[in-house]
Amino acid sequence: MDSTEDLSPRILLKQILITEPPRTPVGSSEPHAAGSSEPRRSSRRSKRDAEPQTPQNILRRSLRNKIQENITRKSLPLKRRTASAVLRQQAPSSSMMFDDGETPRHLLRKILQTEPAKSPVVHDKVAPAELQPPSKDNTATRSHSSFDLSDLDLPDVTMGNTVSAAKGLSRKRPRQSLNVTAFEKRLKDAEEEPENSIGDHSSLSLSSSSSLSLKTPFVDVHTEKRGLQRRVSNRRKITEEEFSAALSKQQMGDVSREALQGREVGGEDTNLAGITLGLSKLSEPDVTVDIVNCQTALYDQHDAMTSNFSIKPTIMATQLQRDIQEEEERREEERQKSAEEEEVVTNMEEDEGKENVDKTQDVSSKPEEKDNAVGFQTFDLDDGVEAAADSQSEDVEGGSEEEEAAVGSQAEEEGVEQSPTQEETAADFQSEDVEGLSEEEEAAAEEDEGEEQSPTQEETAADSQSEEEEAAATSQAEDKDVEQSQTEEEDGPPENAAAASPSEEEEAAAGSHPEDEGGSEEVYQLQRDDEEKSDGADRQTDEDDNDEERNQEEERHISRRAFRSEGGLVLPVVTATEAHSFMKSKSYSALGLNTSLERIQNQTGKPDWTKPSLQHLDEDFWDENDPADRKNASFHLLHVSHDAEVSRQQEDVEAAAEEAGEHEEESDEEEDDNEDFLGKTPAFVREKIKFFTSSPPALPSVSKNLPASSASKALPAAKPKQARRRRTGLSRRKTVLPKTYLMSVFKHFAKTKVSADVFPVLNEIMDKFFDRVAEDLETYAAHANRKTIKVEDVKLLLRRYV
Amino acid sequence: MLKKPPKLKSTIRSKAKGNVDIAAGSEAMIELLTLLFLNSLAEEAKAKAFEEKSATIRAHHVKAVSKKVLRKARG
Repeated sequence: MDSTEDLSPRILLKQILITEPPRTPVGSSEPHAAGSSEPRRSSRRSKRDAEPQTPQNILRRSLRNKIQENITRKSLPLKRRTASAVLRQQAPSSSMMFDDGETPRHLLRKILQTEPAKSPVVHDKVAPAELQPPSKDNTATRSHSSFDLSDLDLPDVTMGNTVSAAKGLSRKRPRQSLNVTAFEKRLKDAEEEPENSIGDHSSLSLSSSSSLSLKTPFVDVHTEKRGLQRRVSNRRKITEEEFSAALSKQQMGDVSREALQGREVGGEDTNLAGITLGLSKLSEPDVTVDIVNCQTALYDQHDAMTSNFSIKPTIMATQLQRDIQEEEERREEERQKSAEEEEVVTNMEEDEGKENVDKTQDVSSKPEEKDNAVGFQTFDLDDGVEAAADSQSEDVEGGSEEEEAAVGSQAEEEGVEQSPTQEETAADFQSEDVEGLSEEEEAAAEEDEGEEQSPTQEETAADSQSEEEEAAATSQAEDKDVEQSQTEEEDGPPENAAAASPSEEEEAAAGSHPEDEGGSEEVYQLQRDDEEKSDGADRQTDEDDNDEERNQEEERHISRRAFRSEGGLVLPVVTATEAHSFMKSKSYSALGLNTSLERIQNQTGKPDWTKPSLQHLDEDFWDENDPADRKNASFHLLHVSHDAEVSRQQEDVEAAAEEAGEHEEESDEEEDDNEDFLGKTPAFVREKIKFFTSSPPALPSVSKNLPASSASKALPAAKPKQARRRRTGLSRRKTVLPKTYLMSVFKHFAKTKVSADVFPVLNEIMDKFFDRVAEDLETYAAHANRKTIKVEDVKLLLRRYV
Repeated sequence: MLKKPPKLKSTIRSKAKGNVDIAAGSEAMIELLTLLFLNSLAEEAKAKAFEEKSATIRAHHVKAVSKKVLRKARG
């Protein structure tokens, strides 16, 4: 368009120069134009027709021509004429086009009218008039360039707009518009209508031009002509005016335009800043908000609380900022809540873990409650609790152990009294092991010294089960039981301990039997204690029984007292050590240590596990603090028991236990496990570990000690086997998989160093795993009405790993 | 590789509630199952140990991952 338009006026000028026909009215002009440059006009028309015949375009063309005319006029009067002629030609042509009466057309019409198109005279008048204004305009524009700006107020705003708009289109056009406006001003004198109309109808450019013309056509010319140069200076004032205009006129759009223009020009910073601020105020403080948000976001990542707080004071400025802060606070609160929730969740998880532990304890507590019904005293309660707990987990074994103990006692004329106690406890606890109970009862009924023996049994039981469930105070009875039950497995001792608990109560109550009973007890203890103890104990039972029993009793009391007091944990150890020192033979020391240690172990094992049960039991006897104390004590006892175990195990090693291999291994592992677990593992895991530890000593010692007991073993062996299958968990001491195999496989898969202390954990895990596998496989086989697990069943199970 | 784990059959039989027999081929499959399980367990334990910047797998590492792996194996 520009090129075409540019060409057209040039071409027209040339033609005009050549032809220069006098102007006539519109009609005449047309023929002139047609005659002079019909092809051009047609071309022009065609061009114009091609172009959107908008008033703007037409005006632009006219303006260009006028400008050119001015230029030409300056240089050559002929050119002026030609220019005027051109203008005239253009005007009439344009006027011809603008017959509609639109503002630009009106302009052209007026031009034509002003021009001497209507009549030669008019044309002449107009021509000189036209000539004059352009010259004047030129001069005026040149001279009054500076003045132009000052005169402009509103037009400046529009000026900016128009200029900017014009820039987009072309720089020449604005120039033309200026000329037109200048002419228009002239026309004002003649006719005011067109100007006004023009100003109203024209677009921004047109309106601006018209407005400009209204006030200062010169300015327009200068500004448009000199373009950039002027703009800067013009802009400054314009910006101010624009700002004012913007504020007065509209909102964002206008202001933004003006602001942009001002910025582009690089006008006064203050004004611009003011504009920007105004803009910011008017518009949403996106920047500030973003900044705040960004900052807050960053800070939130780090520390919502502190960072936000730190940011807040700095950012505090506007209401928006405050709002943002409020949002941040909300976020912080949310985060806090989430953190709290997380904490709650974690606490819940921990609580759940504790609950699980408590549940296990609760399960065991039931039989314990039964024991309580029997009327156990403090000591017995502990023993009973332990026994009950143990009984639940391993009923048959306990029964068998009790039987063995009973039998053994009978054989040795010692455990008679124990049996009844054992029977009582067994009967109370076990509903499954009726056989064992009945046997125990029979055996117990015969013996009278069961009472005394029970504590020893309890102690023995505690030794074997130390780390398992037993945690109560009745260490002696449990220990004895453990020792007696060593033949079978872990269950025995707890049951024996349970049975012994009442007997222990009797002992405590009586307290008069110590020597004789203690001797018998000691005999039992020696026999049922760890391997080495049994040998020594048998020899020295008579002599040392009394002493040991006294010491044991003292230790019992001390240890039990220790339960109540957190600090008392040291006492049992001390007593144990003292007893150890006092004891002459290893057996004595072992016994003393065992008793005390077992007590400690029982204590350690019990607190968490028997907490709920103890709570029931302790209402009558133990204070409510006991569980807590025991728990606290347990932690202390853990170390103590660990040491005790170490010492005990050392003694065991010294005594050359029979099953040294397994024993020592497990004992060592137990030691290590104790070290690791005592502080970290939950109670139930510890108990399981105790099962492990207790079982090995129980088995070999029992097998060794008494031939009679071994004979009795055969009977209960069959029964416990059946029961073992039903039992779950780690009642079995034996590992599901050999240690070497398991560790080697694990190490191979781990590809990194594996400490040896993982074996117990691994064992436990494998145990659970095999339980599930067996259960599932059995289910699959049963579903297929088979009694044999086939490969297909396992394949079905393997799908789970896909 | 090692030889077949001893007592595996007796272990499973003991764990099973009812008296079930285990076919010879299935025993090998069960062995595969255990190996797979141990593999995943070792892997998780290794990751956990690395998490604590320890090149050695310790008991508490294994214990921490055991529950998760067991549950996963159980489906």
